[in-house]
Amino acid sequence: MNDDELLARLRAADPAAGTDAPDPWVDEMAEATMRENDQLTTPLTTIESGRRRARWPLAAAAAAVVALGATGVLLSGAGDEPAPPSARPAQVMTLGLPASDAMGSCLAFSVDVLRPMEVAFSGTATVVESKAVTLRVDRWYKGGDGSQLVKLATLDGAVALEGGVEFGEGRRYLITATGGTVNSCGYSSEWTPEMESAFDEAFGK
Amino acid sequence: MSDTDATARFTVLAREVALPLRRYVARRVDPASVDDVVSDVFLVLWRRLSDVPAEDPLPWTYAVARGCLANRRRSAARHLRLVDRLARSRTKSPSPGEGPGEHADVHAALAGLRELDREIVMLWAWEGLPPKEIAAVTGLTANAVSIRLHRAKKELARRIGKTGPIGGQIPDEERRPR
Repeated sequence: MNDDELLARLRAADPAAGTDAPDPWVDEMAEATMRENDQLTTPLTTIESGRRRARWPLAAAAAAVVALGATGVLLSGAGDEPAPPSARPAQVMTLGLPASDAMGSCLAFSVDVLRPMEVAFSGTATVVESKAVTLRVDRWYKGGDGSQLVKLATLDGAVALEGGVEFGEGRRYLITATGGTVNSCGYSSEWTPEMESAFDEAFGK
Repeated sequence: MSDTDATARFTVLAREVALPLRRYVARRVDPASVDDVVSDVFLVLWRRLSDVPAEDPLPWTYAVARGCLANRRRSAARHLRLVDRLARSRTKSPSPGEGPGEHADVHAALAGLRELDREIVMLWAWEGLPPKEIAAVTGLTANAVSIRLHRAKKELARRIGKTGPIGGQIPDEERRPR
């Protein structure tokens, strides 16, 4: 099956083909949107406790706040919104994942060990491939260079970290790195409130 | 931008993106949720109006819709993925004029792709976007999109070719080379 044939098969199976809606709903929805926004942006407390707050998870809200802050736009309740796409190509920092046999010398976890780490951030995995994972950064604790994306790449090991840390698209992580290599041994992990508290203590809020 | 300018610009923008946006959402969510998602996207467009690219706002709009759908998917257990829904509904109650499970093989093949690859294929085939614009929607580079799209197309063609046009329901004689 060549590309044209595949495209024809897919287009024939398009569930939205021929589903044009009548025009009036567009203007009605546009007006309703502007009205709803007026109601939403007035008192901040409405946003904080209102129905829309409950509909967006914390990670997306945090990402949106970072993205909005970066563009200088500050709207009350902006944390409701998913991170908008950037007009500029995202800058990418690349870090190495440790080799799978580099786990013999773990130090017991402590904030004192965490503190001197050169790079620390939280972010959500957007693309997991066989030899790399890309995370969209929602907070730089330390060592940030303005990158919105960080790629963790491995040469010889698996895309995972010692201690059962596996990467899944859409999941959020707290990552540290030294000398361009991600730290395992519990110093990088899937996001948890406890780990976030440790990062806050080590790197400051 | 004055309030009047913003209102005028948003009205024009809404008319420009509404139908393609509605189709994008309808391809990815159950019918009962389409209006809610479109409404969420409209709200983001209105609040971020000054950031919406004046020229070709559709990829930007699709990217916002993708974010809204991802949030919705995470928060709403009742959400069914399009392909799962179609596979079920088309098997149980085919539309008038359709054979049983028509296109079920295509939807099943799509369902077998990884989520991001499926989105790239759908943006290519259904939204009709080139790799550069798919990149703007997904946050990947155009090069990464091209590579993924190439692989996903090969995989889809393999899967569709394997199952046959409608899951083996065409009589044997129609499959023979003429």
